Amino acid sequence: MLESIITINLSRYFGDVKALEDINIKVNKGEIFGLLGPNGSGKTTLIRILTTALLPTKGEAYVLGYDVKKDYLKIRKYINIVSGDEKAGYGVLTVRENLWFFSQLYGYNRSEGWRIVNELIEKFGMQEYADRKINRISHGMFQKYNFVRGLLNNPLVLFLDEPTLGLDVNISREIRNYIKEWIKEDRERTVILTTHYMVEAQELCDRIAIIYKGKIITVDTVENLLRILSKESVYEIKTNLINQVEKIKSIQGVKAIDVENDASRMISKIRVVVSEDSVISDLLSFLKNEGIKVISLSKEEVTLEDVFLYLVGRKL
Amino acid sequence: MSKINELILVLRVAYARAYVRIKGVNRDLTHFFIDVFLPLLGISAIILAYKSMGAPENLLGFAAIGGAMIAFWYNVLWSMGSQLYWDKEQGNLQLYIISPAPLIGILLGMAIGGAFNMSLRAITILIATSLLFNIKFNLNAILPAFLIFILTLFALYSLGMIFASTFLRFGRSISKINELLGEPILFFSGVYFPLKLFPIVIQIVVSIIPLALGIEGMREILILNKTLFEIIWILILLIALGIIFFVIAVKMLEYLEKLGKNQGTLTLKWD
Ligand SMILES: Nc1ncnc2c1ncn2[C@@H]1O[C@H](COP(=O)(O)OP(=O)(O)O)[C@@H](O)[C@H]1O
Ligand SMILES: [Mg+2]
Repeated sequence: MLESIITINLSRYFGDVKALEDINIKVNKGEIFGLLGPNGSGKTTLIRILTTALLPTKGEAYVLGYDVKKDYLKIRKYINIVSGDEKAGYGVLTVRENLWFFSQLYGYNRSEGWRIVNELIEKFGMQEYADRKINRISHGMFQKYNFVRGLLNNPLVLFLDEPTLGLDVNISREIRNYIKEWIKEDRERTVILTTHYMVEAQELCDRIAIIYKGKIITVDTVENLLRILSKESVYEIKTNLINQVEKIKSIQGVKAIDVENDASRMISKIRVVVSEDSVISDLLSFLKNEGIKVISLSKEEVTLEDVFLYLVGRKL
Repeated sequence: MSKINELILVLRVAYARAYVRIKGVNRDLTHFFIDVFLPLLGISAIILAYKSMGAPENLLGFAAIGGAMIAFWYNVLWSMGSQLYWDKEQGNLQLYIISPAPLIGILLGMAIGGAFNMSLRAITILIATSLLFNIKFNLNAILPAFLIFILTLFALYSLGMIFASTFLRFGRSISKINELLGEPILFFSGVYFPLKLFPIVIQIVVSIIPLALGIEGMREILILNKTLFEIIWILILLIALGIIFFVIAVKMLEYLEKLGKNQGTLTLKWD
C-alpha cells in the first residue's frame, strides 16, 4: 500500500458550523504533507479525526488502511501528535519523568521505557535540562520536549499541529530540521503538518493542501502551486492611504489584491496579481484618476503567498 | 488487542500514573508536614474536649481513627474529582485518548497514587495521636483492620473515579456540588463520634457512604476488639459498593469517551 492516509468525502459539522466539507485527500508514505490555511479553516478538526479523537459526521477516513471509525484501536499504536499550543505533561515532574510516563501509554515495560527515553534525550541533546521540571523550562525547550514525546512510540504517522507556533526563529529552525531528518530515516513514515506559516510549508512539505473554510481548495507540490501563476505578474505598489480595494479588484486583468494600511504613516502597501504587465498601466491611471499618489512600484517574484491570495482571495 | 494484553496495558499505565503521582507529590516534603500537622490539630482539639469532659476512653480512639480518615474524603472529592478535567484543559486527555492506553488505566493509577499518598499521611496521624494521647489500639487485630482499610479505599476511590467522570462531563460548575458534599459527608460519616448516635434510619442510609462504613469497621476492630466475623456485614457492603462504583465508573468513562468523540467535547476547552 502506497498511501498512509485516504479520506473520502470526509465532513465534520459542529451544529451549524461546517468545520470540514467533503475532504478528499491521499497522503503517500514518505511524504511530509502540509495543511495550509488561516485560523478556523478546519486543520485541527481534520487532525483530530485522523488521530481518532473525533468522529466524522459524514464520509470516510483511513489511516494505514484502518478505518478511523471502526479500527481506531489499531491506528493508535502507530500514530502520535505534537501540537504547538499544548502544555502536555505534569509540571511537578521532570522532562525525563514526563517522557517516561508517556512511554508507558504505548505498552513498553518500565525499563524499556527508560531506555527509549534516555536514548531520545541524548539524541536530541536535551541532557542539560532533562532533569528539570517541565514548568521550569523555556518555551523552546518545552516544544522540543513535546516533539520528542511525539516520537516515543516510533510512530508511522506523525501529526504536527502548528509545531512551531510562537517559537523563536532558532528553535523553529531546529524543529524543522528534526522533522526533515526524521522523515528521511524511514520511508514508511509520514508527517502531516498544519501551519499558517507560509515559509514553513514551503520549506518542509512535499505537497500542500490549501484549506479554507472547511474545504480543500487545491493540493499540489510547492513547484506546481507556484506554476499556477506562471503567466501572471506580481507587483508591489506603495501609495498614500486608499480605500478603493473593491474598485481595483474590478479592473480587468486584476486577479488578486491585498492591501496593508499603515495608518500612522498614511501609507498603503498594495500587493497585486495581474494577468499581464500592461494591466499595471490601467491600474496606475485608475489611481491617478482617484487622486492617489504612487510612492513606489516594483515587480516582485511570485511567492506561495501570492498563490494563496489568488486561490483563496485573502491573505493567509 | 487481546483481552489479556489490554489488561497488562491497563496495569502498566496505572502503575506509571501512580508512580509519577507519588513521586510528584512527595518531591516537596513540606506538603507532607502540612498534611499531617493540620488534621492533627483538629483531632487534638476534639480529643482534648473529650478528655476534659471525662468521656469514655473509647471515644478518644474513635476520634483518632475518624480524624485520620478525613483527608481521604477531600482527596477523593477534589483531587481525584478534578484530575481528568484538569488533564483535558492541559491537553493531556487528548494524548491519552489517541494512545492505545485505556483511560481507566489512568484513572486507576490516579486512585492508587492518591490512596498511597494519603495512607502515608493517615498512618502518620494515627501513630502521632496514639503517642500524644496514649491511645491504645488493639494491635493484634491490625491485619483485619488493614483489610477493612483497603476495602474502604477501594470503594472510596471507585467513587472518586465516578466524580472524575462527572467533573469531566459537567466542567467547573460541578465544583458547587463538591462543596455541598464536603462537610455533610464527613458529618454523616461520624468522623468524630460513633455512628450509633444517629437514628437507625440514618444509620442505614449512611451505610452507602464507604467512609462511614470504613471508619465504623476499623473502630469496631481496633478499639472494641470485635472480630472480622462479627462485622462481616461491613466487609460485604464495602466489597459490594466498591464493585458497583467501579463498574459505574468504567461505564461512565466509556460513555464519555464515545460522547466526546461524537460531539468534540473531549478535546475542547469549554469552560
Ligand atoms: N469541538 C468543537 N465544537 C464546536 N466547534 C468547533 C469544535 N472544534 C472546532 N470547531 C469549529 O470548527 C472550525 C474549524 O476549527 P479548527 O479545526 O480548530 O480550525 P484550525 O485548526 O484550522 O484553526 C472553527 O469554526 C471552530 O470554531
Ligand atoms: Mg488549529
